[in-house]
Amino acid sequence: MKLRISTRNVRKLVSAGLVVVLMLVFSLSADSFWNWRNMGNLFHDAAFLGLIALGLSFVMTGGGIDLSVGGIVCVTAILVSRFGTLGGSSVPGVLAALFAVLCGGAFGLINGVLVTRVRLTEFVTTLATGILYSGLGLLLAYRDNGKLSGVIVPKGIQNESFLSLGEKVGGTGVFLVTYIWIALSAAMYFVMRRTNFGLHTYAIGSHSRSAGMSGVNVRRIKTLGFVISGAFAGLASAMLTANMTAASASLGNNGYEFQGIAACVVGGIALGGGKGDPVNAMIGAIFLQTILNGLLKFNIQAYWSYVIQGVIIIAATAFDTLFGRVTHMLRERRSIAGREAV
Amino acid sequence: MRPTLKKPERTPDGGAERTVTFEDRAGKSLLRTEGVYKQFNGVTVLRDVALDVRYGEVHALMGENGAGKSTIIKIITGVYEKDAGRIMIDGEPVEINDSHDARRAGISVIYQELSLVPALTVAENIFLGQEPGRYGVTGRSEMRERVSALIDRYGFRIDPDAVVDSLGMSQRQMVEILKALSTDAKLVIMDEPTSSLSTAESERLFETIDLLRQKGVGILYVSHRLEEVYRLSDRLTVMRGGEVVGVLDHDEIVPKTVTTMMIGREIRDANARRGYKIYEDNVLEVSHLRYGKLLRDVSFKAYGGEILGIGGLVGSGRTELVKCIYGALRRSGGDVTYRGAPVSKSIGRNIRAGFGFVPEDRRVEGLFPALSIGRNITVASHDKLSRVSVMNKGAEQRWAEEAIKNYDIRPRDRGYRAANLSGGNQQKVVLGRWLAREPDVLLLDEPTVGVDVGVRAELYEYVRFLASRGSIIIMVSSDLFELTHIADRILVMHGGVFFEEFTGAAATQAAVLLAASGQHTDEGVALI
Amino acid sequence: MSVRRFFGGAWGQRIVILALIFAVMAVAEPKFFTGSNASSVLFAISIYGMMACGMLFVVLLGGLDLSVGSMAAVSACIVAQITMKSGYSGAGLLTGIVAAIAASIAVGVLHGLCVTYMRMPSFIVTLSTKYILYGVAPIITGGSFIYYPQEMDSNSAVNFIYSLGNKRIANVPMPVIFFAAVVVIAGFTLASTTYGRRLYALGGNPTASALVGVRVRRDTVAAYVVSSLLAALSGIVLSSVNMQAGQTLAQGYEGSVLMAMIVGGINLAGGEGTISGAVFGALFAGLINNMMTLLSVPSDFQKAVQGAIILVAVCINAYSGRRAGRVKLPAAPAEK
Repeated sequence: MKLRISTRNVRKLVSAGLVVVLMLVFSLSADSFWNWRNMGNLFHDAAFLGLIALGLSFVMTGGGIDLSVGGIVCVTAILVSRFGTLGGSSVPGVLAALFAVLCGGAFGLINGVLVTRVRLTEFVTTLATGILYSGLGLLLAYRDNGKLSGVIVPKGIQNESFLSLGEKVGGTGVFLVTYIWIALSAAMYFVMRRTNFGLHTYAIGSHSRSAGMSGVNVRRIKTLGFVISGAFAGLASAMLTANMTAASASLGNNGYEFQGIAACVVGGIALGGGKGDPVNAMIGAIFLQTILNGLLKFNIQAYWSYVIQGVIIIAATAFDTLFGRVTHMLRERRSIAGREAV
Repeated sequence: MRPTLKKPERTPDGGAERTVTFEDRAGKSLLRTEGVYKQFNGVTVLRDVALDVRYGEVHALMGENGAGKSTIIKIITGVYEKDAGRIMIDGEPVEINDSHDARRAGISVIYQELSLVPALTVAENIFLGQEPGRYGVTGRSEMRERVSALIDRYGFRIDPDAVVDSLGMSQRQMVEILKALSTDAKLVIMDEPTSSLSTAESERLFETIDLLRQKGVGILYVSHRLEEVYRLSDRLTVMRGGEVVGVLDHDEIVPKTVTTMMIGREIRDANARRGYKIYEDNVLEVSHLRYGKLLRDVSFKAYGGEILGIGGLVGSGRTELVKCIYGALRRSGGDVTYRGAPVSKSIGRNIRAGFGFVPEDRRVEGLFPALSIGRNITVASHDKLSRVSVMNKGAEQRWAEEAIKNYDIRPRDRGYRAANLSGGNQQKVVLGRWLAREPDVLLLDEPTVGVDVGVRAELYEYVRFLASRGSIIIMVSSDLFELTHIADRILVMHGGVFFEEFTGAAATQAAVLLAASGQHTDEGVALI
Repeated sequence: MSVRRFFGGAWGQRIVILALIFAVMAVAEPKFFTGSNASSVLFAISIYGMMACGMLFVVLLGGLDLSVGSMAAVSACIVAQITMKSGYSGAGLLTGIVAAIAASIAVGVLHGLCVTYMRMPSFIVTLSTKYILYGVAPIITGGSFIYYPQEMDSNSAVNFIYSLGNKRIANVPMPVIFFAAVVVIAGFTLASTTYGRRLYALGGNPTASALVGVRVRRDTVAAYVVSSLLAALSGIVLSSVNMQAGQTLAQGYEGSVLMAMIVGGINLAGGEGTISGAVFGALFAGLINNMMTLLSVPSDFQKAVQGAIILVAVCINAYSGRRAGRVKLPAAPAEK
């Protein structure tokens, strides 16, 4: 029990510690960083990214990868903006969000079926479906707009109930999406750590063959992981669309899948699977957004964000590899010592 | 899709499960097979096999490779279908057609390759796929209680909350056994469970097995290790050539008797090479070689012209020895010198210096299945077939075609995909890759596994010819016949050191088999 | 029948496919056969082709290089920026090209080290560097595109750049000549050198390769370097066609190159694939993209079609591969 708590949480503490350090550095060095308004924005962006990372964490903990979430965000944005403006804009916001979750889940299901039933390689499949989904978004936007690029519903979505999804709650300065994100992270933490489904996800991520031999339905768990990943991307898309009051057909080009993976990896969800939980994804998303937000305060141009995210993935993986090797070495040494004591 | 397992019953107060034990049945018949026959492709591999395992006994099963041990176990556990015969549990005939049937009948197998998930805890692993709890929420407290009850019941010392990744091999086996017991297994089959354990770990496993026996569980214990069998088993069934040759009680388990039963009447045929010539200048010297815990201070000299056999059980360090010499493993200490100069740690340099290595696992380490026969043969000889890194295609072609002809590889088509070859031809390709270079030092690890008798004879012929030309041949083998008939000198490993050396008439299969178990022939009856 | 075998096999079948595309274009869009369109198709094919030849080295090892598009942009930006800063001098141009080559080697080495020493999946590493380089390109140029001066005075550096993309030798455009040279050299390397032999061995069975003396890490790093290097070369050529360089140059080309790989019958699991497959894939990608452009399918949308083609081709390969595998199953397991 002791060992488990330590290795599992040391990694979280490292990332969380880095977040605190970053926040301190930015607060001390930039005037406009540490205030309600900016924090509200930071946690809005972190929540959007965090929702994507939250879904991805299920696929990644199960030892997989999903490169299609960017495409899902794109196509769902178009779909939900149409749905939200149906019939004189009277569709309740909750219903629209639910619709987006279902859409995203359906796209995730397609991924899952292709990977587990047609048995295609995950990264090629999701890379291709990701491109396909954003293309589908463009096609739908084309039908609505009559032209290809640009924003659907150019004058903005008029549905108040739907738009309230993207606003702050009461006078707190905290966006609704932030609350939703925190609540869902807690719920998914429970799912991951306390349910059979979560246990099976760890099992297939850690050793898929052994898990299968023990009676875990590997295909079903894997497929469900993709569905969850898609569903959360869909939800994130609805929240973003409401916040922007319009849907953009070029969302698929923003590399959300990449940011989501970066958030997971920096939070401590290993690329190989079997490690990490939604709390790791949460810390990772805050970490990434803190850097991106903080850099803006220094007037550093936007393209640095690409560089930083790429470096973060490589650095975090390198750190985890070394961290893993060191803990493995220590454990070996301990077990040899123990063996000699017998 | 989840296997339909009988959930352990729970007591009305909802507490710990009723842990089934079989103390009261000790001594009664648990598993009996009668007249089991099995054929593969017209070859009879099991003939009239009768096994009898009782409650509360450790029943050992021994036999040489190919004696039929694995086949009978696979029939008992439903992996293979038997051609004829009966299987009875508790005196009742049962039909076992798949692993679920076997589990329902109370039989479970602990394979060498464990089926545990490293990232999960002991308790999680034991209940993986059949977790207690409702609505999909894992019933952690119940799980822990039941595992604790199970652990207490059998007196194991293991922490149910420990992550499996942090456990040693013997503890992992303990978890595997607990997993079997959690489904109310009454017969636990163990297939060479100690092959990857250290001595101390083995001893702990034996203690575990003793506990199981006390609780009335029947254990069918397959092993090559005589001292283990003596230490553990109440009775021993010996198989040879697909037949049961005898059942011994504990007191009758004497090395000499057992080896005689396993080997049968030993015929020293004229096949052995007599009067081979030693090339003194071609010498490989290994001194005080160490590799982790597997090799502890190994020293020997091998000369050109002789075939040096390395015997010993799986896990005795044989494979590591040849890999350390070749440079495929980094030795932790000691020296290897060839013709007086130290042997490099780079495989490439060693190959150019005249080394060759045929690995044990052809599919994983030897063959390039997607490449053609020709490319498979030439892959180790680019140095001889190229100039400034450009391949000489004519030479390459001739090289491959000559090897195909010399070593009679079928089909005689150098463009044929290696994956589609038969096992024997694949091995010819892998061996031919080196023979074509006429290496000065050829290291062979289990060169004839999965190769039929006819092809074996050919392979031996090629190896002997190479030796007669003055090359050093070092051949690791589990096949006693192969060792005693092909090798000129045999070194038997046991526990990471050379245990005994045999030459000439002393090199009998029985002597080698005894040495591999850590017994000197002249010790006779004395054991442990 | 396997798409891999169908496309990767005889050129006869490949020609049928290409002829089909031509036939469709003849009916749908006569502009296809104009001279200006022909040369733009050839440019595209040449760029994809050079990248595909480079990526083939990596794919033969079972890896993937998604950074080729960004690498091309960065190398073009390096050359353009250094040349411009030097006042379009010959020395500046030379420095720029050397710097671009050095940068691409560095990126390739980084990829190789991450894959071999850190055991990272190649697509994650190269996806990361794709974004890193995408961010680096505008940092080099200062955020905007760099345009080479259009007036063709006697300035040798600008002339040289212009000729890289636009000059013709015996009526063959320079990019095509570069492509042909790359095909010949890469094809020769794969088919006739010891390194080529080792690559196929390594992709088919890395463990066995190490045991026959292949230096796995060194050869792996080298493959990633080749891919980056050829991406850099194609970037320089691409920028000289339009005499400009910037962040979005060659953006998303990795999608087209990946499509070329799969359609060209190159096994993404490694060990199988030929240079002629890569060439055919590049022809296919160039023609399909051009066809869509002429039919006024917008560029974002072309990507979606590529995604669909990749998916379908991978599906067919997986299906036929499995059917072939089923036949090969051994009859009865032998006694251990």
